[in-house]
Amino acid sequence: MWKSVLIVFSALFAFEAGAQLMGGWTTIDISDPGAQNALNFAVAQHNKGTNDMYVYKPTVVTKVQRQLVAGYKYIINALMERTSCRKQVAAETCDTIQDSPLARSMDCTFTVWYRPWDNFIKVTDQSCQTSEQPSSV
Amino acid sequence: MFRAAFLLLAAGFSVSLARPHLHALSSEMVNYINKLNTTWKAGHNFRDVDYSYVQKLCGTMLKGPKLPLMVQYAGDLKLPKNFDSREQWPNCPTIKEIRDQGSCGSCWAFGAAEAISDRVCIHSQGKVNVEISSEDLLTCCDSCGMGCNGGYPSAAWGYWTQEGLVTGGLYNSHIGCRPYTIEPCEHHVNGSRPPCSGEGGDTPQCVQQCESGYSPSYSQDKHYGKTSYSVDDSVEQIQTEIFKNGPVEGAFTVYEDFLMYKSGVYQHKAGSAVGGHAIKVLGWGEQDGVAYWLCANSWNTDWGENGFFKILRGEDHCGIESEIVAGIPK
Repeated sequence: MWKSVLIVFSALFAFEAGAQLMGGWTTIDISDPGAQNALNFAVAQHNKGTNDMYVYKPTVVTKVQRQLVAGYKYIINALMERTSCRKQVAAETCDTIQDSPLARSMDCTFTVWYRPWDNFIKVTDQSCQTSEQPSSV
Repeated sequence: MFRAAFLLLAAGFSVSLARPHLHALSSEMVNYINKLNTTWKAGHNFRDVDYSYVQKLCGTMLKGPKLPLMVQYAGDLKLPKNFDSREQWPNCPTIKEIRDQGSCGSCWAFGAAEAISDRVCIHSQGKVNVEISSEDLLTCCDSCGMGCNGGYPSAAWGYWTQEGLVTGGLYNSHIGCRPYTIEPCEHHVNGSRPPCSGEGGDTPQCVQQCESGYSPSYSQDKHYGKTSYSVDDSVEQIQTEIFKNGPVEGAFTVYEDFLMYKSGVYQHKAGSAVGGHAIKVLGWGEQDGVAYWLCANSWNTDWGENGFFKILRGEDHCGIESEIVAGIPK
């Protein structure tokens, strides 16, 4: 009888599908609600962690990447600009400061981990560098 | 200047110092899935999802290394209708274990290390019962890809045959030579995960040394594979492989709705593609007439059915049948 197992090892039958990278990064649209949520959280954390009197807000998002970990991980690149809102004062709208010595902006990269099933969110990394004040459009 | 679109941070974004109200975001997708009355149930989720936007699948697909294809002759083998490796090999407790990859894209290393642990036990008739280290694979296998930024399951199994893998348990377990060093992170006060202290997520260093208190040396602790191969994408071939040799590593495309899976037989219904994800496949069966693969995820036990899930079987759903890899211990 046949040996119950016929093992064919052969590179001839090459794994036609190839292999895709598992757990890698994808660039996603900045309108993604999860990414927006992550950014909002990161900005709030950022403002809490600085000793600047004023609140900064993101005015331009240049790139959003997402990775599947135990949950989602986002890397968000954003331009942060100083607004006229003071931290201690609750305000409805916070406009960026333009054409003033107080005007300041930073290029920031935020890394945010979000686990939707237990609503865990954490900024795992952030780095900001002072950037040229963008000339008013 | 910045050509990218401007983010509309309208009134809703009050630049508040407060934590955003995640709970207030709609759980539209969960409700959507559960109202479909499909083969699975979604769990709580607080994320808002825009159904109109369909994302391109996984951006660029990088090609990984290839393994030889194994085709088994299953002629006189009668495959059961239901099969669960946990019941088939009760003396091998790693089959029941659920791990946690944390904030790292190390699914590829987890699926491999989990299935290898099971196979080492199964092939030794329960005599060698160890947890193979996801950490060792994640950090030391350069040819596997990019560590925490993604990797290739096929290369992971190849690495096992060439360089071997040491033992190592869960984060902070102090079990084995190199336990996982990326923390799972818990924000609940009474949760099962340790509280989150550091940052984590970057690929840890390849430390060729066991943690202190573990007696065999790093090289003595290496377990090797004899062969590694990919399994033909037919249901019967995959079943035969699991039935004879134990759990395998599989991979598929994850869509956003998968993260909300709670129970039942998953099939993609909503949301866009997030990317490729590797898991362990440990059995199969039928639930209410729906054929499924039984799989273990590496997202801890509070996700899915205590960390496990079932996914539609027989139509290469999300590619689940086309990326199966495995190997035999030395």
